[in-house]
Amino acid sequence: MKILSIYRHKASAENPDVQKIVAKLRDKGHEVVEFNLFDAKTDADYDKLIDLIWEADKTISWW
Amino acid sequence: MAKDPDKLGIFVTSPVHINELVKIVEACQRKGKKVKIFFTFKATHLVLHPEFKRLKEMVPEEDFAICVAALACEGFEPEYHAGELTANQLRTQAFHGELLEEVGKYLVL
Amino acid sequence: MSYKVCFLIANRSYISDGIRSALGLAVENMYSYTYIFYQKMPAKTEYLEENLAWIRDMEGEVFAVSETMDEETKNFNLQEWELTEATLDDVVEKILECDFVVGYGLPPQKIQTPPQCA
Repeated sequence: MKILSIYRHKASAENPDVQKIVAKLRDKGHEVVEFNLFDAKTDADYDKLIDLIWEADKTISWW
Repeated sequence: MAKDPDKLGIFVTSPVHINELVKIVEACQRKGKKVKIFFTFKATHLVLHPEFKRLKEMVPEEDFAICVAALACEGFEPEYHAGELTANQLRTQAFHGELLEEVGKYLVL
Repeated sequence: MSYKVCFLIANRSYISDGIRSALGLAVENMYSYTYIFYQKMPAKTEYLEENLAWIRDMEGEVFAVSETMDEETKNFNLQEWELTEATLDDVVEKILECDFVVGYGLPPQKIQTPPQCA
């Protein structure tokens, strides 16, 4: 499964429990693509986000 | 309601991501995608944000709603704090269920 | 189709409303699971207890991710509230099983909750 992991806050991207969950998803053979929403600035960043959402089987948007 | 593979459902729980929300809606529209948005709990404070009115005008009436119980719980008066929304846009959590049934993709803010 | 949805809640002030929102989907005939990270459940109220009972009646559940909690928080959530204990591995399984994942609200706060929040 292709999973998109979005971080709304920098604190969530750095959260060790979130990192553990992402690592466990990868260990199970799933592809996890990460996107730092807190760092998105340009239209191109947001266009990329929309592409990633449509490419993913599932999206998790962390706090 | 039939599933629309070109529609993104956005469940807004955060009161601090209105700028990101506007950018996401704009990006969807650039790509020919539709959106359906539901604001809940503290995100209902966004009805007072200067960008809210513009956002509302970017989305068809039936695809844009807030949880009216949450708005009231947060101390607001729907009649004048959310006066620009129609009765159809003042909804319950059932709108979230309707959104999940309808959209092809889903994002939480 | 009955979707499966899991709510992930990490911020103290979003717990009650997250459970209310999870119940909102349960009554729409969706399977609704809520995972509480880090936080102590609020003090018991009839409203919140009823919501929790209703979620369970609808085959949903509210879990405490106990390995993210200190001992006092864990005991309160498991003993007083009788939440079901879950591990991060359980959360991973549920994320994979569910059709939708809802990261509800804001991140956990770093600061100690001031007494004024009571």
